[in-house]
Amino acid sequence: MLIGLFLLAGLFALRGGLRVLVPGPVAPARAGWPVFAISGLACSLLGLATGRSAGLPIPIGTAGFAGGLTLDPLSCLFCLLIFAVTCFAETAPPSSRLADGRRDLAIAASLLVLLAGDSFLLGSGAVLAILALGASCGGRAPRAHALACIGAVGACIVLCQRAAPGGALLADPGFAVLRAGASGVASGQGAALLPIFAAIAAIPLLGLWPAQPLFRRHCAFAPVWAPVLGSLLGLFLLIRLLLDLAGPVPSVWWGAMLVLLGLGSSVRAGISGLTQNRPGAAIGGAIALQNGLAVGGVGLCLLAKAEDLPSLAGAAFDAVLLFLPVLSLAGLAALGLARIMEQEAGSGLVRRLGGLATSMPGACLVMTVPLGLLGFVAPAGGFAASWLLLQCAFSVSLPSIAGVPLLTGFLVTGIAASTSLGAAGLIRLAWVVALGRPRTPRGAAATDIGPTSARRHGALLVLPLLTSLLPGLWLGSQPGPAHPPFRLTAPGGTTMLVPLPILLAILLALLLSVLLVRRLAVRGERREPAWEGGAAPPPPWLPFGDPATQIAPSSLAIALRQALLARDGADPGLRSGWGRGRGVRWTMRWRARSLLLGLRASSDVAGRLLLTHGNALATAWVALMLLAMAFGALGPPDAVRVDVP
Amino acid sequence: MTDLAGLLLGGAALLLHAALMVAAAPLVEAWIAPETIPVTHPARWPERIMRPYRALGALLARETIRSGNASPLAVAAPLLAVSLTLVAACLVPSFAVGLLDAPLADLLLVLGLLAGAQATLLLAAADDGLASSGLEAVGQMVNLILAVPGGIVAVLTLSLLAGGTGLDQILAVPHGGAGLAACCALGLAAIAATGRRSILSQGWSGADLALLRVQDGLQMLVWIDLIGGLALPGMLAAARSGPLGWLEGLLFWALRLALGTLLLRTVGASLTSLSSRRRLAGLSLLVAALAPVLLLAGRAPA
Repeated sequence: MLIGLFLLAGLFALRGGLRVLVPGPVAPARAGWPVFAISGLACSLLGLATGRSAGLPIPIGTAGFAGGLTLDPLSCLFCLLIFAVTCFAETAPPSSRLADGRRDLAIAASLLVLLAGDSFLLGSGAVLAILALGASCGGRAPRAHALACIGAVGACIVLCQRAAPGGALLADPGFAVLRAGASGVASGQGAALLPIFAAIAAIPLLGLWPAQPLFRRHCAFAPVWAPVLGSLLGLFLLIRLLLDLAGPVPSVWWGAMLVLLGLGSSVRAGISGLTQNRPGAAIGGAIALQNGLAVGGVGLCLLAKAEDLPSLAGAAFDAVLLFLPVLSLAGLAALGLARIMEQEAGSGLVRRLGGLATSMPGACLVMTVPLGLLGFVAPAGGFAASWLLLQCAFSVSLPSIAGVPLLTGFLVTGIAASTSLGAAGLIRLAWVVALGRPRTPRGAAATDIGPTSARRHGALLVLPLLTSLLPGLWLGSQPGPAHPPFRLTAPGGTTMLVPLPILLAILLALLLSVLLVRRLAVRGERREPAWEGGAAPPPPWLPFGDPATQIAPSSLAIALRQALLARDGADPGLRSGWGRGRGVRWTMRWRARSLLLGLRASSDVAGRLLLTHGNALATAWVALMLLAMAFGALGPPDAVRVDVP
Repeated sequence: MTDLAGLLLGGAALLLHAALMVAAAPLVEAWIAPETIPVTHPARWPERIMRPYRALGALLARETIRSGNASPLAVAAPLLAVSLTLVAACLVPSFAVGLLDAPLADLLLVLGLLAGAQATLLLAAADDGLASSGLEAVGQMVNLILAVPGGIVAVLTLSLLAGGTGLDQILAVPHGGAGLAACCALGLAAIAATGRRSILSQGWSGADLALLRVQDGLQMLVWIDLIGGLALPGMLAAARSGPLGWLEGLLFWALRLALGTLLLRTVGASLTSLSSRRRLAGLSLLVAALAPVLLLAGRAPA
């Protein structure tokens, strides 16, 4: 029934799409697409509400080997997000028929991947979607995307060989054979090849290392829907191939590999988000960071499945599902608004933007929501997802794995570092682009977005907000244990996060503060020119003041680098090295005056140990090895074993 | 005791806790940073206690002067920061556990709310586009980035000890050496992340400055309550024990408050530069990484 509705929507779309071939204005010719997108949204919601799987066999292939389409709760969930992206992409200004055709092909192929019920359709749809996405920024598909196609095809061939050793491409109608397999592909060559192929297929789409520059270029120059659609497609391929079709008992190293890849990439994306020259690329860094965390969640889920810890696997999968609306819809809204700001301010370079919160207050107000969701602001959005991922990391108790303490330490520090770097990257973007003084006259004359555009971008944020405030409704659409609608529960079941009452409490406190200040502050507000520390007023040719005296795009990255390399000018003792020079004498005299001599001395030692890259790595390695030795010798503590059901 | 009575007692204890937090915030801020209160003449004790409140009243009576190019964020930031910190303060128990909001109180959430308040103020610091406040904001942002991993790794140890990150859960178990190390790491991360406000507060005046001081005091109170509760466990009353039981908890809370204030005042006077606080972030990560080792080394072989 549902698939029939999808096909009906597709026929409407086809009617609209065929009219593109007829000469005439582009906009009226595409009347079928809104019907397609809205009916697709309705079908996805209906499918999520019913929570049942549906199938439609297609008579292609020999008898008994025919493939088909399948709609299950997982594909329904991704369909909902892709149709929401489609609605937004359709209302974006049309560029050319070729670009529209690429977009339609990418969306249609992505839907084919979601609905594919056999490896042939899955592989064909993935190749088409990857090529269309790669070509969406103009020209041919980049080499990385061709590699992704190879990865997708290879993964499908491995799956086919598992289903039918003869190698028939259509040997698994409805993936029934794979899902019913007792050992899955965890044995034989498939155990080594499938995760590698799946990772190769997903890396360029998700913007993970080493394809991050390509992803950021897409975020800065390609249509805004392209990187978001790629992220959704990449995560779906990973989940479908490794969590759904690989079999019940995957290998442990699959999960470890994905955890290392995901968290390492997310930290790197966070660092690169601090240094990007274009707003779109900086937001792309934040999206890639969330993609990396989601991949780490998939890896953790695989680890837990391999060790037969279903509640931990379920919680890690829930964390991945919570990342999806944030990275896709909030990311899309942020990219769209950033593109509008670039157009209004007349430059796509961060160093030429500034003060847009004054000239475009509406756009900046709407922008705060996606940036807050992407920037891990408590208690909603990315914070809720990363909270659950951290709880999973706290609960990891996999005694049979030798390096688990190392992995736990890596997980926790990786999540902490990537979240703080991601938030700092978005704060840096807001500092430079929205706050301060305008850096160009064109930026000072930027006009705000209209109500239609504000509503359009605001509508994209409804689903991420709802899913993070009422996570049980979103997570409950998937098969598994029931989820309370208002709260997230940690794997052990002893800790929970309830975002909605916290948000209501914040709003209540805000209301009380406003009322109190209005009542007590008897005098009003006055605006004065900013005090310049005694400097002369700006000359006439710099009507907005000297732009160079503000926070520069590179200020935060340089300060962070100096701190990590211990090149802080405020502490010559630290800079000059241990045991030599005037700096040490200065430091010793300074210490002698201090009341906290011991604290200062130990902090100096720790600073020397930790505030350089090499020393920090060495110290962390020693600490983690001690941890691993303690774990190996003594076994994990009782409190760690909270997850074993 | 019936559930309804327990609920009522929990609600009453929460109201008392919130009132204490709001009332004590200006005092704590003035004790830790006495230079923020203008001293006109030597005063006796009642006058000394009332002086921070009078200073707040004087600030509220003044005109609020904002930069000519300030965005709406300059208006919203102090209010938002106070709201986030107030919610965090309501979640961290001061004199009793088992408050009405205990099921919502999570250590990671509290850290997230405090970091959100700090980030809001750092954003607003760059709003006027001046070099001095911008540089200060950048320096404090670096400290915040470096302090977060140490804080989260400390939470890992506390979570291993208590089996979760719920605050009542963590405060209920004895911690030993590993817990103390985690507390130290959390405290060092807090000192590194909060920073000093002397330059940042130069951009504020009138009601905005009053809000900023209340937020600062609330933030200090949260840290004192949190780390005091972790380092000196067993000093919290149960909300269900009623007003007589709360008295004991209030007494211990006053003791912890005095100790914490003294410590923060000493540290604040000693660590005046951003770079010295930055080194505490490194020390925090080191201590936090060693805390799980202490925890595991103290356990019996499997």
